[in-house]
Amino acid sequence: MGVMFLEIFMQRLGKSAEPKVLIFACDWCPGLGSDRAGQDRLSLPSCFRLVRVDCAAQVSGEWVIEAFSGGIDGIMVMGCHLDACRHQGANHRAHKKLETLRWLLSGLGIPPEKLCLSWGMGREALPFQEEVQKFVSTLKSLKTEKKGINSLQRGRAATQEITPSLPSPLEGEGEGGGENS
Amino acid sequence: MNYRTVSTICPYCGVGCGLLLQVLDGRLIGTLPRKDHPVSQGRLCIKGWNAHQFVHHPDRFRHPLIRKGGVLQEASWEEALECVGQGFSRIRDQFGPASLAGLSSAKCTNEENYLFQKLIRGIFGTNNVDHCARLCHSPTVVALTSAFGSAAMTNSIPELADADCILVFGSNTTENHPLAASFIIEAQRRGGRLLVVDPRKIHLSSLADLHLRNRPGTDAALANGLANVIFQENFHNRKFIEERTEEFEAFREAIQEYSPSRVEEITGVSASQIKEAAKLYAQAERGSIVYCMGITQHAAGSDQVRAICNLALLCGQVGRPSTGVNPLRGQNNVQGAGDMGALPDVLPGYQRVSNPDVREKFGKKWNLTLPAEPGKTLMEIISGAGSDIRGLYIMGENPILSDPDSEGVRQALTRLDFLVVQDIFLSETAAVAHVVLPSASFAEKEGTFTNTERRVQLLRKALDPPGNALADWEILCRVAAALGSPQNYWGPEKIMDEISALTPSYGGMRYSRLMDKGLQWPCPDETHPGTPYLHAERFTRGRGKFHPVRHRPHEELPNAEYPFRLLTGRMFCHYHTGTMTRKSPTLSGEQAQGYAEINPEDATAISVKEGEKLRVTSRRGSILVPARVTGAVEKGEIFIPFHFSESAANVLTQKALDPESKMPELKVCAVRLEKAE
Amino acid sequence: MESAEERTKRIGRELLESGRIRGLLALIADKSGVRPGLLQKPEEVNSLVLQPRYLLAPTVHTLQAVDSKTTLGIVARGCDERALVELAKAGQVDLQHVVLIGLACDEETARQCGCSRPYPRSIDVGEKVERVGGAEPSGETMVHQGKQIKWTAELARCLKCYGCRNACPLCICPECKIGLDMWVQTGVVPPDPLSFHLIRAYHLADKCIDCGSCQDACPAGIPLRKLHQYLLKVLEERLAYVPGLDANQQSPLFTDLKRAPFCGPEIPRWMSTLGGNEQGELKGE
Repeated sequence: MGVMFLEIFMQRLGKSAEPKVLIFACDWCPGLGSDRAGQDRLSLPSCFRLVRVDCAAQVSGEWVIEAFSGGIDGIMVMGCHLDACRHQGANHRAHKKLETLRWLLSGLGIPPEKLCLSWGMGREALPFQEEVQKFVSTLKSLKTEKKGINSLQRGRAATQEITPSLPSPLEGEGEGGGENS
Repeated sequence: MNYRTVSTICPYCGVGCGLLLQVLDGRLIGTLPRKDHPVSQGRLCIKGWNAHQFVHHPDRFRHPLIRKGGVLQEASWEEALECVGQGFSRIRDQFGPASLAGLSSAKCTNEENYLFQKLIRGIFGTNNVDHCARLCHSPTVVALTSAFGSAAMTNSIPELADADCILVFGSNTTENHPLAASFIIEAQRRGGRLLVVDPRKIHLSSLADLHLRNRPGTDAALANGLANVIFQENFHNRKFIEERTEEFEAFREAIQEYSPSRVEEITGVSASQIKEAAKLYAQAERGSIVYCMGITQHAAGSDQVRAICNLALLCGQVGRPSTGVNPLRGQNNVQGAGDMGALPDVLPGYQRVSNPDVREKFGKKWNLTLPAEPGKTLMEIISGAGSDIRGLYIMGENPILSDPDSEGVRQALTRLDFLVVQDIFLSETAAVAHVVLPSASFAEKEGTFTNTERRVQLLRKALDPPGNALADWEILCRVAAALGSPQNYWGPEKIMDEISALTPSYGGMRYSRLMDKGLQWPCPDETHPGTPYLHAERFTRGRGKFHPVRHRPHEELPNAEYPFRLLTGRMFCHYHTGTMTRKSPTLSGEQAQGYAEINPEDATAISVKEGEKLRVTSRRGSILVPARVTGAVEKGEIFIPFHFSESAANVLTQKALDPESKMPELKVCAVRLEKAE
Repeated sequence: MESAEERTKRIGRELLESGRIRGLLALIADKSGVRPGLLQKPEEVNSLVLQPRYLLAPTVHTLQAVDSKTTLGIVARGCDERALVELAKAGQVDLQHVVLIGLACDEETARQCGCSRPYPRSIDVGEKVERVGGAEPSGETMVHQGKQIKWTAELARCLKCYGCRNACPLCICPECKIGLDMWVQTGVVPPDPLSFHLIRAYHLADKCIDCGSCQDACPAGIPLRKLHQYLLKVLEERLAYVPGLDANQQSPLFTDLKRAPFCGPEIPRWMSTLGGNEQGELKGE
């Protein structure tokens, strides 16, 4: 996916989108759900952009990592239910891989709730709407509980800044604070 | 399938990491770290891990080249040596020995530097020999000699890990001396404090406990400010001052005017930070100062280094482990090049040419008469090219890209009657030579390098040089023969035996003793174990000397026409003029082209976005360079690394010299910026 | 009583003399220090040493890339063997042409390393010592030298030497993603911690054999191993998988949930990490 596309998404999301959400939805179950949600004019939060993929298994871990690093707050990977994948159960493998990534994120102190894996839940208009709304409110509650985005997510712009992301030990112990990406 | 690993020393920076070259069927296929090396201890930086990559590049010189009809053409060694011999002898006979000069290589071995200065002094007949230390740590040599009596890093690199306060002045350590930064980081882990003085936000300053972000060239004032606070608050080490130093009174008077508020005005660093830093350094049990180009590359360089020595003397932070004044030497063997006397005023071991006993000692051993008059320095040689200097022999140096005012250097070199360049690649300097002599890289010869902590280490030959290229020491022997003075050394080991007989600090250096971990000089005899830190009981000159130092602003300050300040420097994946790193795929892949760091506000003001080209112009010249928009530089400042010939920072830099060390003010000059069309 | 070193030399010489192997990868010591090498004549084996711990498996991969038909010997600790097993799984090493002299780590070495299996499956030299030292990474907290690891601070020290990747026996991709500007901005230090270190840890999730080469090679002293150990523990608990043990066992990340399920309750048909899983018999394969 790469940085270029991420910049485009960030631009389209706009500065005021809060939280910034990227949804990868496969063309089949969640694809249907999102189309129908649109047709039925269901109310959806405005802070997300949706990327259609042939199969959710196309979403590799680097895309997710890169997106978080670039300032996306939450990512949803939506695929078909677990016995319906048209690509020989690729969604099973996708789930295990991305679940591994969730564990890795949580080990680093990044809330695993920021990456949502949803298999078959978004196959109709209402379930799709519910799933997206649920995710956005989960993210919002995360933001108030854990102050600021985990300072590991500094992103490219922030890397160039090289400002201290930790307070000087002379000012007292503490994690986080510093640059918000 | 012939596979082996060869233990040798990294050819890049002055940390001198040990590494293993992987050789498969006569070709280098990789580099591995050496787990049992005292400094690198199983680790390497990005340059070290890729030390092998440039060796097999197709652009390596394989044959001598002679300029015929305006074009460099391949020739045989006989032809080339005859040409070299005749070229230099003609000039010497017609215009006198002082019309010749030599620039030695801080990348070549000790043995090669020794031979080079011997050739220039004894065979050319002049003391006009210098090398690129002039451009980096020549103020260190002047200042440390005057303050302590010995011009080298006082302590050892691994000792940094046990310091409880490290004060870093003008060193981007994590990028340019990564394996030294390794120990600084370890010191922090162990609870030590890190204080970083630098005008830019660098990686190290983001890790520091305190970042004293001073204006460029105000380090002497800052050091004086720290000294002022230390004295006022009674943090100074009275006992040490009394027993181990002299000239304290003059110094004490001089720092009186450098109150925290006055220093805040000059440097831009807040008075409270100054007080905090002063306290931390002075009260540390083991306080260590580390410094580099940020201090030295100014016309006031020698004074700036002296100001730092004053601090160490004031607090008694010298002469014990994990303390000291520690210059990080740049090149892999710049310490050695100096030790070997590739300098206009000293012979090996810093023994003065003006001393008749010294001249006799060397002259007798070499069976040559040696000139008494100290010679010209690098800047003087270049500026005298075409007038005083008619013939120049350059070994492993690229002055067009490393000296200030690139265009001026190029023109000066083209005015020479005869220029011989000995190198491994066609550098910008080799491209204007009359004769090019192809030499071996570090992997293709034996010899020793001396790292910044005075550790003399052995190189091992991993493979033969390409084509007809020869090791530099072999070439020098042949050139000497072509000039009528054949040199008979069967190998570098024999040369080192001669060096150790004439150079007291190298007295105990034998290849058999240097085999796996090297030895740190002074090492006066064969039983001496080497010296990890200096000035333990007494300073080399007896007592440590204070020097009153005053703040001297730069000469070329920003004005209406050139409103920006240019800072020059380096970055982590390239090395100096890029002759080797830009021919290494991994390193050039990491950063393929030059850049200029520009503050976001300044970038917006001239409508320049990340990656777009800037035109940067100074009184010397103009370059095009892509922009890197970052808050690492202040408004009104830009930073350009000097590795990239197509965006050469040194096209812009100026030649104001430090009167004592003849160091040019490479660090700073005034420029104007425009968006490039 | 034969010392471990003497025994290794004896076996090595026998293997060379019999022609079973063309060369033996081992550590050599001489006046220039200790370094890995390929011993090809029986008399060269005299300079063989066993310390310090130096992973020789990557060199098997390097040499087999040039010549995969020549049988090589290797003095292999547990970590070497696990690395070779994983490389074989990826089709990068042909185990048929590798002869292992299995070396069990002594207690001192095992303690310094702290890995969970300081011995190869078949031990030719040394006495087996079970796991010594090394704190268990537990759940979400990771501890290094008695203190909880602050990953922000640690990864901020990264010097981008690529040592972790270069030293890792399983980091063998000719075009490594973390070296590409598309994924990790090049020319900047420190590298963006999420991109560089997370992508690497994620890629190695089911391949890391806990040799510790990454951490040993880190000039900034970052406790990288803890990151990998944490993920390995999670993989062991949730997917019942440990890399490096069985060359025929495929990583669960490549198989469907029936064949390599999560350890735990039934697999539902619909599932979301947001909850609200709908139960129902999982049909199909």
